[in-house]
Amino acid sequence: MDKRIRARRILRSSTGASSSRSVASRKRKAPVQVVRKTYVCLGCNESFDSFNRPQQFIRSHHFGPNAQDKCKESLHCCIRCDYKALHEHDLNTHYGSKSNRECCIANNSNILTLNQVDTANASGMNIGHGSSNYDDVVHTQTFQPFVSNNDYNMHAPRGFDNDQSASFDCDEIVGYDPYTKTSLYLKSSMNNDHSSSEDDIECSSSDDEIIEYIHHADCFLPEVSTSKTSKDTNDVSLHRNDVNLNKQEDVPTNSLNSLLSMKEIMLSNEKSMSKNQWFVAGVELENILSNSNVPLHVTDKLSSWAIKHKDNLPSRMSSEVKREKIYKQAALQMYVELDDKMRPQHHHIVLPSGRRVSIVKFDVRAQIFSILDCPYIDGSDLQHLIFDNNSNDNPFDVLLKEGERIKGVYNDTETSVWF
Amino acid sequence: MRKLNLDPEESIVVPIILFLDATQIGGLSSHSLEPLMMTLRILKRTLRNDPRAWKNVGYVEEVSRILGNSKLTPEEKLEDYHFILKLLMQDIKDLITSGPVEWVFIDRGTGKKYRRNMIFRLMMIIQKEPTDGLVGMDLIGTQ
Repeated sequence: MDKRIRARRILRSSTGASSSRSVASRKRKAPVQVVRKTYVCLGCNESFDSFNRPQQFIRSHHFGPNAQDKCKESLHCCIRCDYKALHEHDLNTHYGSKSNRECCIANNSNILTLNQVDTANASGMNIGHGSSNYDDVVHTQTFQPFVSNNDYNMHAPRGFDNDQSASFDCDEIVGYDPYTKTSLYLKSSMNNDHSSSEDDIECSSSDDEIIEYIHHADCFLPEVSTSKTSKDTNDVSLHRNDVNLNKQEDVPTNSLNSLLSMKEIMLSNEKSMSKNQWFVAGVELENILSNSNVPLHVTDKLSSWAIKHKDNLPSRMSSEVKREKIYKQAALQMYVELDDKMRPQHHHIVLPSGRRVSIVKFDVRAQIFSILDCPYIDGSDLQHLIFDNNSNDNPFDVLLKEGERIKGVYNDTETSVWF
Repeated sequence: MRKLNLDPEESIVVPIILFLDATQIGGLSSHSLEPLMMTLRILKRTLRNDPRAWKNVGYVEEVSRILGNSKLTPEEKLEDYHFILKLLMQDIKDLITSGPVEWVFIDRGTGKKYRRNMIFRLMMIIQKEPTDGLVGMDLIGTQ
C-alpha cells in the first residue's frame, strides 16, 4: 500500500494534478467582487467611486492632504463625538442608534437649550432667560416631521425645492408646533435691539407655508402684541405669545412641546429643590432599604426609631453600632455566666480510622433551657404545651373518665396535611 | 417512675425528638451540611412547626470529607460516621441517664405555677440515605 501511495503522489507532483479537495478549496477562496458605490462630495460636487465605505471616503477626501475647506464644511458633524457624515440622514441614523445614546442625549439637550425660550413660555414660567439679553429672532417654517424615535432631530422641511433644502440649517431649529405645522428657527446671528421688535417682524403668507419673524424678547410679555399683518389676516403672522396661548388651549399633553415643557419643569425644580439635611438623609435611607429589598413601610419605622434614639446613638464613626457588636453585647447581658455554655464548641477528635476532624457541638441542656425559656416559643407556658387540661386541678393529668384515672395518652391535635 | 422512685403526680415524661438529615449548601455545590436538630415532644404541633422550636445539637462533619477519596472500606467509613453521632448524642445520653430535671411550668391564664420533674426520653427520627443500612429508616422509633 505504501508503494502505491508514494507512486500516486509522485505522479501528481509530476503532472501538476490536484485533488478534488484542493479544487473545492480554491473555489471557496475565490475573491468576492466588491461593488463600490459612487460618493459625491457636496462641497466640490465631484464624484468618487474608488471607496468602499463613506468613512473611508471622508477620511481620504475631506481630511486628506488635498482637502478643501468647502468640502469640510459640507460634512455633518456629531455634537459629541468625532463622527462625520456626508448627509444629514446619516447623522440622524448615528443619533438614533442605541450604541450612540450619549450622542443622542447631547443632541437633544443641545436642542433643548435652544428651546428653553419656547418651553418656558409654554409652561407659563419665566425660566432661565427672562431677564437676559436674548435678542434672537425666531423664524417659523411650515413642514411636517419624519416619523422617528428621535424626538427632536428628525424634522425635515417639506415643500422645499432642492436649493431651498440645501440652505436649510438644522441647527437653527428651536421648536416645532405640530398643530400649526410650523418649525421655529433661532437666528442667532441677528443682534437686534429690544426696542426694534416692530422692525424685525416680516411676514409672508401662502397656502402652504407661513414664514414668521418673531422677536424673542416679546415672548415674555403678557400682553398680546400686534404685528403689521395681524390685523388683516388671522393666519399670516402670529406673535409668539399667541402661538403659545393657542397651544395651552388646544395642544394635548402628549405633544412634543408639552414633553419638552415637562422636562424643563423638572430641570427647574431640580435647581430650586430645597436640599435640607433631613431630606437628603431620608433619600439615602430609602435608597439603602430599597436596594436591600426591605419592605417600604420599614422606612417609617426606622425614621421613628432614629428620632427616638437620636441622643443615644454614638456620634463618632469609630464607635458605630455594628450588628456583631450588638449580638455580643446581647449575649453578655442576657446569659452573663452562661454565655460560654450557650455557645457552640469546637471538638477536635480522632476518628477510629485515624483521621482527625473538627466537630461543632452544642450543649444539650442549654438548648433545652432555651426552648423552655424562649420568649417566642415559651415552653414553660401550659397553653403552648400538650398539657392543657384546664378542667382539672392538675393539668398534667392524663385524660380522666368518670373520675378515675385510665391508661391514656397525651393528646395533640394533628394538623398536618398527611394525617 | 416507680423504678426511679418518683411521684407520678409531680413527674412528667418529656420525649426528645431528634432529626438528622443532610442538605446541600448550594444548587451547584457538592458540599453539604448535616445538622442534628432536636425539640421537645411536649410542645404543641403548631409550635413544633416553628423553626425556632428546633435547636441545634451539632453538625456531622461533611460527608464528602469523611467518606470521600479514601482507601478506607465502607465499614470503616460508617464506623467514623457513627463515632461522630455518638459524640454528638453523648449529652443526650447523659441527660437521660442522669435522672429527672426540675422545671416550673406556668399557666398564664390562671397564674398558677407547677413544679414538675422532667424525665427525658428519646424519640429519634432520622432521615438518612437508605444505602446506609445502619442508620437508615430501621432506627426510627421510640425508646
